Amino acid sequence: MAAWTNFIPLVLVIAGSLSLLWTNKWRYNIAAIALQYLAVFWFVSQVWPIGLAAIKLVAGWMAGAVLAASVTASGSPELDPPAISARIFRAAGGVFVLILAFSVAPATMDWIPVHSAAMISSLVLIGMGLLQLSMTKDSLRVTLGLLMTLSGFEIIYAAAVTSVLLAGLLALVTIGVSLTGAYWLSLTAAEEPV
Amino acid sequence: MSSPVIWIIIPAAMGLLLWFLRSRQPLSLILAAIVCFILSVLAAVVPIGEVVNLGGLTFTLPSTLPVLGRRFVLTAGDQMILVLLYGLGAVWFALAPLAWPHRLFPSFGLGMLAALTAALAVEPFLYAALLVETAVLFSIPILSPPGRQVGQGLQRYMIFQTLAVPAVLLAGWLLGVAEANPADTAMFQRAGLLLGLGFAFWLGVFPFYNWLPMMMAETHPFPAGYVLSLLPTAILLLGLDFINSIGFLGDSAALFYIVRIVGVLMVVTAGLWAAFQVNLARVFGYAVIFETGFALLAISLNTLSGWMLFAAAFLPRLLALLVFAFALAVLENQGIPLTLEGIRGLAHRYPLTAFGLLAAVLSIGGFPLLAGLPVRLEIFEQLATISRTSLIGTGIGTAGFLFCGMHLLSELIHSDEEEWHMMENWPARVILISSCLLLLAFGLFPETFFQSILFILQAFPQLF
Repeated sequence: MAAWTNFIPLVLVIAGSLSLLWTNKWRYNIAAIALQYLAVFWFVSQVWPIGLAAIKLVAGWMAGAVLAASVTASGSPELDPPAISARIFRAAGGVFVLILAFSVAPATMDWIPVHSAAMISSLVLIGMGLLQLSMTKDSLRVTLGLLMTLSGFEIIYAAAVTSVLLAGLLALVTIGVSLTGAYWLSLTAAEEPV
Repeated sequence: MSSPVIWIIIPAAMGLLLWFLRSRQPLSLILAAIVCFILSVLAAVVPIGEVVNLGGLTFTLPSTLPVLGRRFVLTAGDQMILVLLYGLGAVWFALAPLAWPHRLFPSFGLGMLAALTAALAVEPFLYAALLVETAVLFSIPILSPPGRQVGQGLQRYMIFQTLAVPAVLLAGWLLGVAEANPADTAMFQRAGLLLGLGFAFWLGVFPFYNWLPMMMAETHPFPAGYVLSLLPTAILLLGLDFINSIGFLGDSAALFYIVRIVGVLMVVTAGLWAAFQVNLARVFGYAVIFETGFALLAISLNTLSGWMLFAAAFLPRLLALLVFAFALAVLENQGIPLTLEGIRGLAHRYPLTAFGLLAAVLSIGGFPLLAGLPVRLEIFEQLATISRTSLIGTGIGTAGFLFCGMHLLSELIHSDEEEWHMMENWPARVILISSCLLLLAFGLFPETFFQSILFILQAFPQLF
């Protein structure tokens, strides 16, 4: 595969993670996470057999579907769109993470054997995920932040270790995190008798 | 049939079965307690890997279960750990009908136990991170049961526990790379750094522990007590397993120095914050931090007596946390606010609960004649020979926690009422009296109780 094609998923990752920061609309957020898992699959399929790499895509999309179904079922209202000042602040944070990812990637490639686009994508996902986690109390956004961070890690870890059991357990964790988020979304304010 | 099947697959399957029985709360809780009790007794009496002659039946219990090219291994050395973990489960499930008979507790609680046992058994050990995360995911429904709002503390718990997974997995891989090229010391340092970060997230080590008191204040104290008794115990044992298996960790003076500094910081900050805390649920969170700090101090000694202290501290710690959580659950179930103001004069109405609370807090603080003191004293003595600064810091933290106990005492007995009542029900009275007597017995005859728990160290032969 030509080296330049690896920049397509990198663009997907950057666009998806910035849109997660920019908007509170859950449909766009779920679509962004689905795109990011497509990018993860792209990178992982270069180092793992395609069948094994597909686990990442299936697990990620399942996680997105679980969250989408839960938001719909719980009837949670859309969060108010963030104020313009909040958007600028988030975007500035996102740009800072991007600069950091691009500048740190060459050094980290010395000890983890992945190509530059995969490493940058991974660092962007981890950084944006952490940024998301640090700026929200909303259960959906916390879950999306965790999924972003884990998916970023999965790109570099796939280059290091190939194992069916590991792929299965990581998929289990991805779906487990999304189920936790879905469960939190479904909780109601009324106290239930034990 | 192998040992991992008995102590991992069977409890996991029972957890699944109890999910289907969740509408029958007392039955499912009793079943969970019985299963844990049987597994604990089996771990104590059935020798793994040796020929067992049971009447006319002769068999050998293999220690290994291969799964997809990896192995789950529970050897004879792990038996005391199994006794401890499943014994802990048996006690908490048996008390749950009185304290928190929730329908989700038996199935998810048993699932947690199975996942943590699997984490201790899996080889290569790096897979343990994913199994610990599975246990954390199982803990969520019991920490935030249906009808209870999710707070920031619980979210942070989930975040920190999940962030530990990448750190530990990457550390495991880097260790493999470093062992292939021992001359590359930088790789060992990176692996050590990531491993330390992972354990810091898992254990709620300074400065990553703010979720602990927050989570306690948001959840029912009984399930939170269960999770915060079980999870740190399993993770500390996992940490010991890592030090035991990874040669360079055991030889690293820097590692034990950092562990000591972190342990002292945890004891000092938890003790001081507890001294000024008015919410008792948060005090429980600080108690967990305080206990983890002392466990790290015992590890930092890196001597045979240090490891023995580490093992010996398990029983008094788990007992004190159990009494603390049970007493808080009694109050919570009566609708009494878990604040110092809410419990003012409580000794006149709930004398045994008040006594249980006080005994637990003072035992954790290391008050004379109670269970926590013997181990604390020994750690103080050992620290005095290594670092006076650490000793002074630890002393300040301990004084803070004891001050919290004295503050609690003054609030509990402060009342204008002249009459005394005993409003606890009979089963709660029996449990509170017997557990307080046990706390006292541990303090008076420490060696009697500590000798058996020291067998935990058999699982870590490389440590000494």
